[in-house]
Amino acid sequence: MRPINASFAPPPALRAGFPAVLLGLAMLVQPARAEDMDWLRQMADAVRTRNYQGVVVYGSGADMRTLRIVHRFQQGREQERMQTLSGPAVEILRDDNMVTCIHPRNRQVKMGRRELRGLLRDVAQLGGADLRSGYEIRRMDDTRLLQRDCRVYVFVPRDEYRYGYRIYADAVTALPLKLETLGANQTTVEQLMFTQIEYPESIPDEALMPAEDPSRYEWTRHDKQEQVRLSGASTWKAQRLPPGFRLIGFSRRQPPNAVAPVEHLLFSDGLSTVSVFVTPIVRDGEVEGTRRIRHLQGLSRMGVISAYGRDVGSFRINVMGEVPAVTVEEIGDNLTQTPAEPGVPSTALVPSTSPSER
Amino acid sequence: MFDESLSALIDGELDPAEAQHLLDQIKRDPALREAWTRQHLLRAALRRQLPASGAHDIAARVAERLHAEVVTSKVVDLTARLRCAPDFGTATAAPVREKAEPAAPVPVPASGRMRRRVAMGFGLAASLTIAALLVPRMAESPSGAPAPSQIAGNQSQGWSDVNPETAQELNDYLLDHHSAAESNLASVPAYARLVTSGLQDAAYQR
Repeated sequence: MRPINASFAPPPALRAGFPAVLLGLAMLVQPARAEDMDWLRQMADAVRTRNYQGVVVYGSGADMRTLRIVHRFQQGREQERMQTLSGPAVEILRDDNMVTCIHPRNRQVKMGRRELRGLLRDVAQLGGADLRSGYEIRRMDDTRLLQRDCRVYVFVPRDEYRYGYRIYADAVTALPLKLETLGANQTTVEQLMFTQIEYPESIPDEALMPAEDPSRYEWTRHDKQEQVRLSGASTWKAQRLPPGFRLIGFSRRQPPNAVAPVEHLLFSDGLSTVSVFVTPIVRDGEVEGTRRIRHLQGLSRMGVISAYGRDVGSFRINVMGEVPAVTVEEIGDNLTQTPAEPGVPSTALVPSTSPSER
Repeated sequence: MFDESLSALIDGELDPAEAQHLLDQIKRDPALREAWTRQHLLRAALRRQLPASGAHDIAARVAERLHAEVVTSKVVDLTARLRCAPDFGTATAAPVREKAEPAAPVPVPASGRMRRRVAMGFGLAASLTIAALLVPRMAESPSGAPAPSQIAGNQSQGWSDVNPETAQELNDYLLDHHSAAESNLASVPAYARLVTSGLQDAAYQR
């Protein structure tokens, strides 16, 4: 996916200030300074480039799981192993963009290379103004987790188009040790928290190997390598975007036997991301390959992920992201197809409010 | 003395054998369990991380889960060891079972391999204990609806209001979305979501 530099959406008028719950905590709250914005970039970088391993508790709604994570970054190569410690046994192994899923109970292994990876590598490309247009960013009192000093940042959404976040980052390594997604009234709707953490200088290869020997399992490989990557601009245009969101990249690929390319557009407000997938319609009831397809019509949700599907002409649009339903619906309802102009990106933005400077 | 030991357990300062011994005592002794809950609530209040409600019965639910998970892992470990190592030596154990069913813990020699597995079991138990009491009660939906009163079961979340074929298609898109949005802080829990939602299986069925 190619990044796109486009003028960012202007910030909306400020709404009411801090939620009462934050003020009621009587903590010292400071507005984010320039060094804090740099710290946020370090957090995003630490997730990818630090060696770390530990136990994580992940909770969303009524669901809570424990996972063991081993993450290694070595000579520019990122590898990770994630293993469930509660619930059904599953392991996910990542080696850059190769993802392997092991199911010991089913004795199956599935591998695939994810075509689009790491577009949003550099948070710095978005700039502090992008974040501030969608969030009040505040630094809370430092605290301690797992016997480690932590910086605490709260992102209070300025409107209903995004969730809030509370991030506890290791003051030494910048790795987020606890991340809370906040819904209405600052209630926690999702949480990921380390309950054990180590930062080894080196991680042996064996630590990234699966717990069970999968050599006698049933192996399946699913790649999108057979799809041809296409150049050129997208023909889809966002007529209107929620405040703070802008297009940051897209890709086009031609699946074999498809009548038209598949496009993937990525939007972000600096913290939340929304993807739009545009595919040629296969009519319900027709068979694509060996499987009947039932496409999403309207809204669906899984935890903090919202999805929205609709038809535009002979194309199917699927929108999804870690945002409230109103956001995917607004983006999906305002996408239109325009004729491509040679040499000019047609994925321009039409801000929903009057423009302002970065 | 118990308050001090409980405090050390919460802080992760006990070695695995001591921790397991104390957890066993907590499971058996209601008074000790109450003291343990008070310690957690006190610490949570000091850190302003007190759950909205329901904390008092978390101890009972976590204890129940500890028994099922930690003891099960011990039986499985022992079973594997007996099968893989005919010369297991001085292990004193219950008869080998085909299934890992909950049972009373059995004494085993603290060999290196078993020590690591016990440590992992302790890590899991302590993580569950700590997390259950420090994780604030979460809303069931992003809209802020009240959370259920009981601690998480192990049911995977799925897409709402769609049939299985549509869910599979959405799962594949979600993998593409997370791959493209990596390194974004809001996507940090991405693979945790994938693992716990069963998505990793569905995504590769296309």
